[in-house]
Amino acid sequence: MLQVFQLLVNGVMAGAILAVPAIGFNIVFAVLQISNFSIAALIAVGAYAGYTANVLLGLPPLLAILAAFLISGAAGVASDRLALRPLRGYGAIAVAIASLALNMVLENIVRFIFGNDVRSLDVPMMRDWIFEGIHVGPQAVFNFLVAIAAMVALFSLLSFTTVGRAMRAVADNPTLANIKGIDPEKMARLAVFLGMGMAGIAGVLLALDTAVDPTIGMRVVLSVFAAAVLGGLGSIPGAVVGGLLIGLAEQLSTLVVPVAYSSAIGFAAIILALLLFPRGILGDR
Amino acid sequence: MSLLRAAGISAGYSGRDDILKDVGIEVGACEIVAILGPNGAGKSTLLKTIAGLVTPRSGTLDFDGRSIAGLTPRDVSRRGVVFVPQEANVFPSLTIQENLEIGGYLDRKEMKARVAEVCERIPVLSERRRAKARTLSGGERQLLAMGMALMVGPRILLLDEPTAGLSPLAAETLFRMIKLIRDTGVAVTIVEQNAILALNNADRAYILVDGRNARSGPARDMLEDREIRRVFLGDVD
Amino acid sequence: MTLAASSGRARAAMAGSIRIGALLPLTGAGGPFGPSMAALHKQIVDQVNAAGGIEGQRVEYSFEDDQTNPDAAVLGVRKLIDVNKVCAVMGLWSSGVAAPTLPICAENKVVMVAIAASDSLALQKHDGYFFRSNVDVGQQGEAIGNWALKQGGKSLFGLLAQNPFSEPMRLGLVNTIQPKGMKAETIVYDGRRTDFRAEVGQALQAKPDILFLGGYPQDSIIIMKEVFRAGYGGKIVGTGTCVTQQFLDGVGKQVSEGIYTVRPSSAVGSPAYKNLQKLTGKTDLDTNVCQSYDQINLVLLAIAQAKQATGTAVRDNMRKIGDPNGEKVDNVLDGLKLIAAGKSINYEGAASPCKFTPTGNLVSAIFETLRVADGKLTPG
Repeated sequence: MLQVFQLLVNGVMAGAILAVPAIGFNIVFAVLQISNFSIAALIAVGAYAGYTANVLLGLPPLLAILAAFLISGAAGVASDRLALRPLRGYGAIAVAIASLALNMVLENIVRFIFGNDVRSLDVPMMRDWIFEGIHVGPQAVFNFLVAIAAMVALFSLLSFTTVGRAMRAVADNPTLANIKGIDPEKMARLAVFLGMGMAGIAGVLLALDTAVDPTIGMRVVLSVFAAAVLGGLGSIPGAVVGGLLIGLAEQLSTLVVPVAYSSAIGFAAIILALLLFPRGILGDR
Repeated sequence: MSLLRAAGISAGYSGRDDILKDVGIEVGACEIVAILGPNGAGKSTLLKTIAGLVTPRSGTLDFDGRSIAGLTPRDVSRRGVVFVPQEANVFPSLTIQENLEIGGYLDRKEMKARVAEVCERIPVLSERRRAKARTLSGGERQLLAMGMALMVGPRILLLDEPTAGLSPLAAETLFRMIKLIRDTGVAVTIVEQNAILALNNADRAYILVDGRNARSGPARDMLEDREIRRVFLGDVD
Repeated sequence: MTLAASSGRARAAMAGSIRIGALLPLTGAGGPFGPSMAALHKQIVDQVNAAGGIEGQRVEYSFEDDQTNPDAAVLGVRKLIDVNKVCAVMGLWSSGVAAPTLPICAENKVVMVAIAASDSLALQKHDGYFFRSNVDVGQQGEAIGNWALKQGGKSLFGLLAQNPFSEPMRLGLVNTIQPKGMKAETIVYDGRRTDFRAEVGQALQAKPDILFLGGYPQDSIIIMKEVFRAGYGGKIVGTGTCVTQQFLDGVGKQVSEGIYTVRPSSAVGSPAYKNLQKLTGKTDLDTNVCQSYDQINLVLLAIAQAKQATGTAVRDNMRKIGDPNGEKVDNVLDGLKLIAAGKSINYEGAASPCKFTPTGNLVSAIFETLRVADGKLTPG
C-alpha cells in the first residue's frame, strides 16, 4: 500500500513535468495544425541553455529556467521559419516528417557545441524528505512547483490577455481570425515561441532532476507525445491531464510489468487513446 | 456616389477556372443590397473576393473611392468592410464575451463599453456572456456573428447566407436586426437563398447566374416581375 | 572453392612470406583507439623482420579500417583473407564488428584474436579459431560477485541496463554469489529513459547490503543521484563501463564518495607490461594497447612454434606457447630465439597471462578494485 502511494506521488511529480512540453506540443498543434517533433531537440536546447546559465554563468536555477524558456523559444521560432514554414504548403505530414529531420539537425548542433558528455547542473544534492514512509525529494518538489507555475502562467496568458485570446481564436478558426484583424502568421510565431519555450523549461527541469546530455529530449519525447495524444491533440487542459495520466501509468505499471518495459507504456497509451478516444480525452475537434 | 463598387471582377480559387466572370455590383451608403441566384452562381465567392479571401484576377474593387483589391482580409476589415462567413463565423471554444472582444480586435479602445453596447442591441448575447459559443443555437450563433461584426463599427457588412438553417421565425428576427443595423448608418450586402425574404427586406438586388450578372434592380420591382420570379427565383405559382 | 583457396594458401605460406592482418577502427566509436593499436602492431613486425623474421621468412602485416561498422568490417575481413591471404586477424575492437566476421574467419580457417567482449562470440561455432585477449563479460560478473562475497553482506541488488552484455554479466554475478548464500536480485532497465525512480524504488525496497550498478554512465548518473536522494546507506559497486570519469563528474563529489568499481585491469607491473612501457615510451597504458601487444606476440610465436603460417597451425599452437613448464617470455624476440633453440615457452602478456579456455576465452583475468575518494578513483 505504501508502495502504491509512493508511486502515486512519483507519478504526479513526473506527470507534471511531462505536461509542460506536452502543452508546448499541443499549443503548436492547436495554432498551426502541425505536429512539431523537433520539440525533443528543443528540450535538449533548453537543458543546455539552463546548463550554460547555471554552471557557466553561475546563475540560480530560476534564472536558468527563464533563460531556457527564451532560448528554446527563439530557437524554435528560428528553426520553424527556416525549415518548416517553407513546407507548410505541402501538408501537415510533410511538415511533421521535416520536423523529425529538423530534430536531428538541432540535436547534432547541440552535440557539436557541447559534446556528448553527460553534465550536471550546479545544485546541491539534497536527501529526500520522508513523510510517513513516503519519500519526496526537495528538488522534485521544486521542479513540480516550477512546472505548475509555468502552466499557470501560460493558462493566464491564454485566458486573460488579448494576445492569448487572439491565439486561441487563430487555433479555432484562422480564416475568421484573419477577418477579425488578427495576423495568423504572427500568432503562429508566438505559439511556436511559447510552445518551444515550454519545452525549454522542461529541459531544465529534467536536467535539475537527472543530468544533461544531447539525447535528454529523445529520452522523454515518446511520453510527451503520448501525453499530448491521450489528452487530445491541440488541447491545453488535455495535455495536463495526459501528462499526469502518463506519469502515473509509467510509475504504477511497475507494479505489474517489469521495469524494462515501462517505456512501452507511452506506446500502449497512444494505441489505447486512439482506439478509445480518437480525439483524446479532452479533445473537442 | 456608391460606397462599394466592384466592376469587371473575374476571380476563382487557386489552380481552378474563374468562378466569377466579369461581375460588377455597387452598394450605396445605408443601402441593403441582396445578391441572389442559383447554387454555384458565385454569390459567396463574390463576397469572399470583396473581403480579401479570394484575390481578383481582373477588375476593380473600390471602397469609399479607394481600391481594396489585393488587401489581406484584416486590412479589408480595417477599412470598415466586414465579412461574416456563412459557416464557422464564430470561435466555438471561446466564450461569447471573448468572441465579441475578438470581434473588436482591430480597435481595442473602450472595449467594455462597446461589448455592453452590442449586448444591449442583441440581448440574447448578454444573458450568456460566459457561455462557450459552441453551446449556442443556430440563430443565436448568427446573432453573435453579427454582434462580432458590429464591434468594429463597420461601414458595410457582407453577410453570407445568414439565415441558412434557421427557422422562419429566426430568419425574420435576423432581418429585423439587419434593418436596425442599416438604420444606424451601415450598408449591408447580403447573399441569400430565400429570395422572397431577401427581396422583401432589401433595397436593391443583383441576380448572378453562372458567375455573371444576370439581372439587377430595385428589390420591389424584382418581386413584381413574374419572369424573374419564374426563371431566377424558382417561383412556380 | 574455399577449400582449394585455403590449401593453396597453406602451400604459399610454407614457401613464401608470413602474412598476418588486423581489422581496426580508425573511425566511429572505436576511432580513438585504432591508430595506436595499428602503430604498435607495425612496430613489433618491424622488430621481428629486423631480427631476421621467423624461420628466415619475412612477416607481412596488413590492416583494414572497420569503421566500427559491421558492413565495413565484412568488406575489410574479406580483403584481408582473399587478397592479403592472412592466416590470422587481430584487433576486432567491438562486438558488432567481431560478430559478422568471426564466421568468415572460421569458414576460411583463419584465426581471430579479438578484443570484443560479447560472450556470444565464444559460444558461437568457430571450430577453435576464436581467441579473446579481453576479459569476457561473464568473468566481470564473477569478479564483482567475488568482491561482494568479500564484503560479507547478506544481499545484493543489481541494476543493469538492457544491452547484449547485461544477461551474461548478470549470470556471472548471480552464479558466483548465490551458491555462497548471498541473496542476489537484479532488474534490467531501459537505459534510454530519464526517470528511474521506479527502478531505484524497487532496488532500495529490497534493502540490499550492496547495490550494483551495471549500466552506462548516462543512465547510471541519474540512478546514482536518485539512490543518494533516497538516503541509501549500503555499499555501491559499479562496472568499469559505468564508473568512468564521466560518471564521477556527472554525479559530483558528494554523491560519488565511497563508490567502488571492480574492473578488468592490465597486468600492471608484469615484465611484458614493463617491456611495453619501454616500447611505447608511455607509463600509462590503455588496455587496448596492452591487448594489441599480446595479440601480435601470440600470433607470431604460434607461427614460429608451428613452423607454418596457416590459420589451423596458429590455432593448434596458440596454447602450446603458454606451456606452464616452459620458460617465461614477455616479448616476441626472446620467444622466437627460444623456440628456434627448441625450448618450450610460456608467454605471459601485458594485459593478461594469455591462457585460453577451449572456447577461446581467457582462463583467468586480472581485476582491480578502486574506490572513489574526493571525486577520483583510488586503489581500494
